[in-house]
Amino acid sequence: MQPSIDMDNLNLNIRSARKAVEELKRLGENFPAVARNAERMLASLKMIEINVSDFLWAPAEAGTHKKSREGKTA
Amino acid sequence: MNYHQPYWNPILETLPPEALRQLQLKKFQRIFRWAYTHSKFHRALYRSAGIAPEDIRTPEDIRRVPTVEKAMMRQVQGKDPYPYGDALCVPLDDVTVFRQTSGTTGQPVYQPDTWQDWEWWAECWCYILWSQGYRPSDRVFIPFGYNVFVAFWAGHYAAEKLGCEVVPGGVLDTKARILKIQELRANAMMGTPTYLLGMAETARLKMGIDPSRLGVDKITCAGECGASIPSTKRRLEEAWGAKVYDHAGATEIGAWSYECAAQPGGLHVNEAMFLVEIIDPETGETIEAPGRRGKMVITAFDRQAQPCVRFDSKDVIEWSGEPCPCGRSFRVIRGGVVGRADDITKVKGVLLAPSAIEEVVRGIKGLGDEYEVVVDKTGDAETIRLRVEVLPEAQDQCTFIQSELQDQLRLKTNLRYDLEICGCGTLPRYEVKAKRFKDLRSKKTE
Repeated sequence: MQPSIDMDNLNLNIRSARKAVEELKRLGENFPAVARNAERMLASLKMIEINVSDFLWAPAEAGTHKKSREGKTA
Repeated sequence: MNYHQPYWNPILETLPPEALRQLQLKKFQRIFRWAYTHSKFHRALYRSAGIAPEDIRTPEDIRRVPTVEKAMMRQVQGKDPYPYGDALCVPLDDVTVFRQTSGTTGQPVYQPDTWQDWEWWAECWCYILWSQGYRPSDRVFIPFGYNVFVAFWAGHYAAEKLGCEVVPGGVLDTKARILKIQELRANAMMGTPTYLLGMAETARLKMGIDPSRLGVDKITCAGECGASIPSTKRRLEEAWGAKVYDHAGATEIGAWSYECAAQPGGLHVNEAMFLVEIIDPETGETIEAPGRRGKMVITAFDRQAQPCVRFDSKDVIEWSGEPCPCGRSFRVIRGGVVGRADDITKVKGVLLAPSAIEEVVRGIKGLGDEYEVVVDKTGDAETIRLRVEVLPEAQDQCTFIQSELQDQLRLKTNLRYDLEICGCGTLPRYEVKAKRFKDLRSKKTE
């Protein structure tokens, strides 16, 4: 028998985590070590959303991809 | 954390089929809209077919979306934004990794991925490895040349994500890899069936090491369908003394299916991450019934940089009608990928799948693991020459083996072969994907 899982509570926490990390990324605009690590955290968060939030169909993210101008150029 | 939990995702992997179909529709709508909005290539393709995101309302609507073939991707690439061209859905700055297909069926296709895509690749592999019993206590040896081919890269990252200890066996030669497994007591491994059989042979014949005593207890295969061919799986399991699991994936798709620990005789499709449709190549109709083969058209729901939407993979598969004892509701494709639409060829008027020959050769005791098939034409007569190796300990049974081989081939493929028995070690060995099937007929027509 599978233990019960509180998906709504999981999703609530995912939403607040996304909000916090997006804010970190914004604050790190002039702080590459913060911005790039926040970007990676957002990718990990997206995986949790795929596993949890998509099931509830309550997309936690505002946009699916956000461009960052820092870093390499074409 | 509960390491006894059998599912990587206990919700999605056991979702009732109806709920799964609803989720798939919503996820298809999202990736279709993404491709339509961000890729000039996809938008042009869909506009020419008269279909837009708001037209996708039911599962039937999905079937109106044009398929994408590898040849189309080749045409798009090599242009700006270089080298990916108009199918790229994100700014070039956001691409963090390049891969390319192996080029088995022609010019390689480039595959850009963002970091999020790469996390997604590893996530797909986490479903695979967790279902096969990989846990943090495992030490996983990966004997693969880390390079531009995706191969086991994502398996490596997924094993790390699970908490396993990963040993990258990159530039080492085969003997050094065997010694490293022995030295570190690695208990899990990933590789192509061809390479792992060759590795076991090297250990046994050239190093005097019995690979089944090295302590490897599980192996995950990819790259070829061998681990789903019963006789090849049996040889691998006997050689290594390990459970051998198959998985199927592709550079331009992702890791879309996996064999779970219950080994149900096929692969679960990860239906939370992919939509797999089986299409009858003659009529174009979608096959839902078990037991009818068709070609796979596949969509990856969450891949962004270069989306995979209704990709015509040419893989030949069929649904199994049996529920898997593991309890997953993800459907199973029986026998894994049984061939590729462009590999299955007509010889003497009979359809021949190279995997059927492999099943026979590796099922006969006394024959080595290697073989080679050459289809040729002299005048109007088509011939199939099959070269096999007899093991040194079976040399005195050559006549019997030859007769058994001919009988089994006729039974399984309805064809007669010109057999050539070779000495052990004379046929080519392969490091990654083997090329054992040669069709010389087309060269003579050109």
